[in-house]
Amino acid sequence: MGYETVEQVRIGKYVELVLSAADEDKAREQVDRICDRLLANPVIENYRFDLTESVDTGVAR
Amino acid sequence: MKFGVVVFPGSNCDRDVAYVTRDLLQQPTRMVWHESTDISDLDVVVIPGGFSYGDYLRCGAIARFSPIMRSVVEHARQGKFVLGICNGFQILTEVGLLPGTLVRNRDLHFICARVPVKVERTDLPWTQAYVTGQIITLPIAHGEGRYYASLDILKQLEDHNQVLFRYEAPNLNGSTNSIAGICNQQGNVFGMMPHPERASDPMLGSTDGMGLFKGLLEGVGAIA
Repeated sequence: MGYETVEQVRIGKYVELVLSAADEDKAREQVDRICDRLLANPVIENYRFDLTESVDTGVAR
Repeated sequence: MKFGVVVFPGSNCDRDVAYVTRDLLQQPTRMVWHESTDISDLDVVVIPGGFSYGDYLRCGAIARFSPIMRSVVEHARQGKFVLGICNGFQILTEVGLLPGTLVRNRDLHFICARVPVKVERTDLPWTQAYVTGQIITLPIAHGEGRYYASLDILKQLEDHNQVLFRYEAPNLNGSTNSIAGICNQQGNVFGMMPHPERASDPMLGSTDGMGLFKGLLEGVGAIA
């Protein structure tokens, strides 16, 4: 393709979760645990996540 | 000696294992559905090969949360025997009964072949029917079979002689230290990528895998 500017490539997984939690700390704690135990294998993978408050999840509350 | 073979949705070598233990070796064997939890009657639990839960997310990542796995961990904790073959090995690493993990083969494609495997140690039931240093030929069939662990873990494995099977050249999948099968430090949990159950009936062309089951029968039978 001629893109000689490409120097490195990394491939990873991108996961979006909609989560209900009392506050941001609780959400952070849960997501961290879910990543550590299931979504990533810490033996070979690193993970990081961002939290965004969701106004409309489409879920009845 | 009583065998149990765990069946997950997507397991596909379960009946091959039962064929060896029940039909060829005449040992009581039952299939254990992954939702059941009582395995107190079993001496040896086998986690067979296949594609549990379609290998979604990572091989073994979902299966390790099945209800049966808590019982398997407890079974191992009691010092009883657990064998993981192929996908079973991957599940044992995911659940933490064995260290390290299995990643994509070095050349990124599925490998189906018969490969030479060296028996490293023979003082455990798993391998006692072989001779130390013996080269046997076993079938492999996997896309994610390259053993990987950190240098610290590798050193521990080697220091404690936990590598029971090692690929002879060529190390097709690129496993670190050519690792084909490892046990835990206690020696009662063993995981391997090659398929001994596919090399046990003479009709299939090789019986090099039968030694593993026979060794278990003699070794564990003597303890149980």
